[in-house]
Amino acid sequence: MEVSAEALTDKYNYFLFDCDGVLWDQEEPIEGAIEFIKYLTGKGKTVFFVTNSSWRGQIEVYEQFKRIGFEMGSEIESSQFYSATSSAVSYCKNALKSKKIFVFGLEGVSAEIRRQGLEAVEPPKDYYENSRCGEAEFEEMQSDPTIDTLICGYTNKWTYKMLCYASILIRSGTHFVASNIDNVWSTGTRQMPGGGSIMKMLEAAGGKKPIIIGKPSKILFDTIIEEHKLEDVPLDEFIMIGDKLDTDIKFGENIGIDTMLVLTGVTTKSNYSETKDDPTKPVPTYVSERLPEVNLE
Amino acid sequence: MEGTETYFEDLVEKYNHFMIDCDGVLLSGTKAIEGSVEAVNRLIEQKKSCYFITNSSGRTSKGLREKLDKFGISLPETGEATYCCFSSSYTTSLYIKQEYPEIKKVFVLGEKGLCDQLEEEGIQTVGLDITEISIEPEEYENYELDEDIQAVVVGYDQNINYRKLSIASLYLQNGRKFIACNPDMFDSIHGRPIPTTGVTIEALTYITGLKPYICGKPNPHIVNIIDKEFGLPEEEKAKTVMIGDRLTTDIYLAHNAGVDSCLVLTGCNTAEDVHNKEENPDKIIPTHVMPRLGHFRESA
Repeated sequence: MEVSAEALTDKYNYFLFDCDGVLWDQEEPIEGAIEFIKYLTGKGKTVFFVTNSSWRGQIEVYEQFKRIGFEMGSEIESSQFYSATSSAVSYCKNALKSKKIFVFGLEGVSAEIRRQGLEAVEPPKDYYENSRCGEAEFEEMQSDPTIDTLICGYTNKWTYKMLCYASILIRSGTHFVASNIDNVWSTGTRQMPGGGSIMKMLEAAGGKKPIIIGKPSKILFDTIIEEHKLEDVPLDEFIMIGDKLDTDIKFGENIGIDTMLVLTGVTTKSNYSETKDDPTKPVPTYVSERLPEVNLE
Repeated sequence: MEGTETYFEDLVEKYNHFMIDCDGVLLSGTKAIEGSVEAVNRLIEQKKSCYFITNSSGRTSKGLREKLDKFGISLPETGEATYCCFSSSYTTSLYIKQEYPEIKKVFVLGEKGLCDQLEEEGIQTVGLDITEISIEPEEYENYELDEDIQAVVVGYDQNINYRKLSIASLYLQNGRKFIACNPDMFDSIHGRPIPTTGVTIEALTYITGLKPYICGKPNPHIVNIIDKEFGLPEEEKAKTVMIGDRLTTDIYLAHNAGVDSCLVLTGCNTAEDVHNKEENPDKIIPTHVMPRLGHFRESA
């Protein structure tokens, strides 16, 4: 059901946006996105950016937002950006009391861990250079008992040896936290394994399900509410806008807020028509081919 | 289970075809299990057909034969009786050769043994020599698919990494058959679980939404494979027994194939596990239970 920009601003005061596939595609803005954000802030609405990106922290996403051309007024600050990475680390720090975290992810995760004052452990170079792990090597592999947590996120640089080590960490009782459940992410016309494939792999290898921070888990939303003191705002004033049913729309459903699916990212007009009658899939409040057109005069 | 105890001699009297699991039946780690070598040698003496079936895909059939040889099990060439080693790489290769003879080239996530076995059956393999770990989105977006590659074959792979997984998923997303050697999530290295084929399958299924055809235990199709390759007519199935240590692979295979089974207690499962919902979710009762393969009446 297509909906106008006015109808949205009449109904909602707080707009949560997914980024990839909604606002931008790599370094290119998606048609109408810059204008729509400008329109919302012009109307005094509050916007938050909630990305499952597990290799970029809050600052990196904010930088990307500015770099692509989304105009920055005093209305939009870095504190409005929530990446699953930053939130995963905050969660580990505050809820799990983690001190030393093994990173099964990219450098952005280690940087975020250190930024929040905790110790990050990256796989040693040997795990990349001598990536096989046979019987003898596996027998010698011991989990470091001082590591209390493992965070997994998207990485395009993992090896079998890293997988073996992660599996023994998880099986030895280390907290297992996943920042991203996306099965794929779009490279343009194709779809590449996402952070969720890493999570599934470690879940299978470690024999344990992780604590999921990224969408569709509510944790990111709870963090926004807490940090921006929005506890008293009724949920019907919020709307979540995204391009993936299983993460963005499910996120909205889990929180209990309205949602809008835009068909400019992973979900397209043609693949949506295949899934929309699937009873296991979440149902968006609105479905739109793109973000609503606006008149900025 | 009946009150009468089954001995090895009873199996010899009743059956002509012995499907035998390796780890936990013949071998435990690097040691032969007491009485196993003697038991197999008696089967050979008695001209019983022996099919050694393991879910491990790292070795070729010949490689498995050589391994057994080191433990003192020298299998003769197939003659009056059939002697064959079915590593899951061999099961998988024969499956493709028999059911999909048009498949001549595959993308493999596996060890050299799996690739060698496929090549022996006339199937070209790609993937063994990928050493790069990573792939960037631009390369993935423009990656040229080999039109001749018609399937993705997944087995145990110590070289598995993001690059190999991505290329495999790209082929699967483009209509290639999805075939796996075995379903197991882990192998046991001295009691410690080490990730194997099943973990890769989970990741690929999550990425693509596709499930593979799994050739290894408990898939009963191996009996059809044996029949096509060596001959195992319907009337001989009544004289066939599957001997293994794991309920959910070995015993379930026998049940699925309509042949008798014998659980031995020298490996994964205990006698109590037969009635345990977690260890035996499908509640299949083995035809026989023996403390070990080499459970001889004469030594009772």
